[in-house]
Amino acid sequence: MIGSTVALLTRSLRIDSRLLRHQLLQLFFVFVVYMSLVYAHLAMDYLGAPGLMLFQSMAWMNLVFITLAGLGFFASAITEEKEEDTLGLLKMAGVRPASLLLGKSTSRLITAGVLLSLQFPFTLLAITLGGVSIEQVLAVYLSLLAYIALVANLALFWSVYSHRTSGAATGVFFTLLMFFVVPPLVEEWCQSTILNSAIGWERDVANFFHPISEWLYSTSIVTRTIEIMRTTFAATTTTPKSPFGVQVVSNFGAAAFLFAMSWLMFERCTRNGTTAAPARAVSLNRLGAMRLFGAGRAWSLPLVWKDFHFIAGGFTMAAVKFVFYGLLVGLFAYLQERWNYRFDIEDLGEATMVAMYIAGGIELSLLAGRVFQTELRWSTWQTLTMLPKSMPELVYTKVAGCLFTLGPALFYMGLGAMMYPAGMADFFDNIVTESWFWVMLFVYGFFLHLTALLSLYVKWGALPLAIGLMIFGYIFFGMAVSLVFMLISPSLSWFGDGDVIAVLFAIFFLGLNIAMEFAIGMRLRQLAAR
Amino acid sequence: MSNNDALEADTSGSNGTAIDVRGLSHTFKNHRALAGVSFQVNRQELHGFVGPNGAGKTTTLKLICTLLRPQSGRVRVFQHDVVREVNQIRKRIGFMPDHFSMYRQMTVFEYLDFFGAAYGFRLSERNRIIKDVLELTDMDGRKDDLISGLSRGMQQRVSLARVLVNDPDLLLLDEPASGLDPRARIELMEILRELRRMGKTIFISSHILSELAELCDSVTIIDRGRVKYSGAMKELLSRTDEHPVYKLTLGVESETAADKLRAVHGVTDVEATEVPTEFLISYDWTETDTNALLAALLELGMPIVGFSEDRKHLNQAFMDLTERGVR
Repeated sequence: MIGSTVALLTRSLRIDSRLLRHQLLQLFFVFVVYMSLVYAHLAMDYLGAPGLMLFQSMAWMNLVFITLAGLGFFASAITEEKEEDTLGLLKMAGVRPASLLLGKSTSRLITAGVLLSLQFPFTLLAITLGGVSIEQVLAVYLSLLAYIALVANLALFWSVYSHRTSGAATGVFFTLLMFFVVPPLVEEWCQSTILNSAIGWERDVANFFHPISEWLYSTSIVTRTIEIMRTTFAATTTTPKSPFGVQVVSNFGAAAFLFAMSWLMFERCTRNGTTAAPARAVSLNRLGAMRLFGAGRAWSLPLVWKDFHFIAGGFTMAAVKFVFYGLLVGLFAYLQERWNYRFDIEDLGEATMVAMYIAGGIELSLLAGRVFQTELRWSTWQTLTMLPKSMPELVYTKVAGCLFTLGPALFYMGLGAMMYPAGMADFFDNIVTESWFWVMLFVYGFFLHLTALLSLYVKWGALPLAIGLMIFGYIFFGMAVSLVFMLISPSLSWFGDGDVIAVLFAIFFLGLNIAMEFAIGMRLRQLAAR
Repeated sequence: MSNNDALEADTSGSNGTAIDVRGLSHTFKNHRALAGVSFQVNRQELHGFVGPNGAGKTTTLKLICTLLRPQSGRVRVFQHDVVREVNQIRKRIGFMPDHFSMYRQMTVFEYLDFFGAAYGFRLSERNRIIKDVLELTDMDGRKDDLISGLSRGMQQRVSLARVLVNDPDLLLLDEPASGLDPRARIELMEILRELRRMGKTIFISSHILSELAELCDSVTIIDRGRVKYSGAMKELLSRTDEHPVYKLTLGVESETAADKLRAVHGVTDVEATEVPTEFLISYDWTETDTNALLAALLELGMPIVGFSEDRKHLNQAFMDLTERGVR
């Protein structure tokens, strides 16, 4: 067993080390750390405790990176073997499930560990810069290590369970979302209920869930990082605080449990192999009672029809979203009544509109990663480009097909606007008067373009990669802009009240969007001829 | 006269030409895929494009079907230039790539309906077209099946049906029989024969010459980016060093059979095989033809139970024309 584990581990490490993107990623990480150092050094005269600032930004950046790696890097550990039909061959070669799981996941853990270790010497410089102690550095890195173990094994669990990497990544995303969002919400509800409710069943339920949610809350890396970064953690150097908090122990424990679960499930989940064909929703079946939700005949804009039904999920997914968003609005109404003791239709309208902006934004981001990727995955792009249509026509009709899926979100957004007309008026007013609105819009547009472009280069994980690059880009851009402002502060008056800067930024990001359009077009042409 | 003028003069008056390729060269990074490829394909002809793996077949096909732009040389399809008149060409051709390129989550009907609509056909027209192409490919009983549930041979038929949706004048098929079982291959070839009878020009690539021998009117053999032969299939057979070879199987053993066969007019050699009742007969095709040879053999009064062309000489022709080595 040890022999096959080592063989698999060596193979995976060799493949990873040969990949140019891994070398670039390592270089990129070092560059980010170096830039952070330069920024901290330059900002010494303006900001207190630059070491703490540097260390904080690196800690949060690592946290985001690990989370994104869970979605895009760890989640493919087993599914990539399933998708390439090599899992059966490995099993036939006598590789046992435990060896396979260890060999495949350990190599990824090592790669992530190498990325963390690259930063460690630089991080120690944060101590020299001031504001952070060695205990804090060690505690943060131990927490991150525990979190990596948790995320890697969570991804391994979903990778064993799912047929494809996209399914595994979705599973990881929703589990982490639950882990980070649900405990604080439940904790908030419990505290509010215990404080405000009279004796009754609600208070009993809150009393029951309160310690659980409190414990879950303390197992979060976010809670732990905030706790470590507090000056109280560093100040008690005479009685050093243990780097082994609840989060570290629980995350390692959960990682071990998830590995065991993956092992136990492995045979059952991989026994029948996997199909190379994409899944088709049951309700899309042309026969039977669900025919109304079927794809029907192709529309006069056939690409719109195809992408709406076979990429965006069609009427079935639209119906599901319609119900889900409706329930969300209902929940807002309930929480408003529960917490504020009054029902304000304008507040509900505002909450609905904001929620639908976010929902629409998430939907668009997901579709940006899929709109071209599905054509490449199923080798259909070449056939599509043989149609007597221009490249822009093909691309924009495909995008239009995906936009149909925003129907439910737009419906509820309209409902929110009817409940809160002043909010909608403010929104339209901002379009005209707020130049930063356009900056935000073009930055979001750039993000969508980046996701679509990356999906033409990577087999999976374009969206997490785009989010990661945007976060890094944001940090860089923020640093670069603030450095520029530090240097030119005497001539700041030239920029007036900031509108000029906003206009400059808007033009810059609009230019980036246009450049991305050309880059996507060129890449699509290349892929058609490949 | 400039090079381009010379090319123009060459192609003028070639209205019977479906594909006209002149001096085509193409390089991918450091690899020269095509080096001065020239050949023509006449209309309503079934043309084989044969070469070993890595010879440049797929690159040539992609240049003809407008997916790639020629780096040097010229390609014309029905007198249209592949660089300047892309849409005119795409309306008249149907391209079937060497890999399965299908929306497997669709049903057969949805798939064909989608492409029918993409080519701009109205609903009523689409109904007729889909019915016709499904009948032609013998898939009308499977129109509600999911493509992912079909066998490889069936999926290849659906792919062919898709190519036929816009009623193209020219079909470009890249290794269509690759990966198919013998039955599916034979059925596919039957469909191609039927399409040729319907007046389509068919350009079919393969790495097996003998597979196309009975099917094609003309053939181009390409190796390492250079054309080794382009012309009529019959002429290729006559060019080979050996005479055509036929395998004769008798119902009973006969010690005098070989001598009797050698005495037949046109026969140049008779070779006994490991099976006592089988003989390989070579004949001079300028002296006689296959029908006359068979008639003469029957006149000998021997119990003939089998008479078929031995494909070895075609493979030998292919080996003679192409070079050894891993590509």
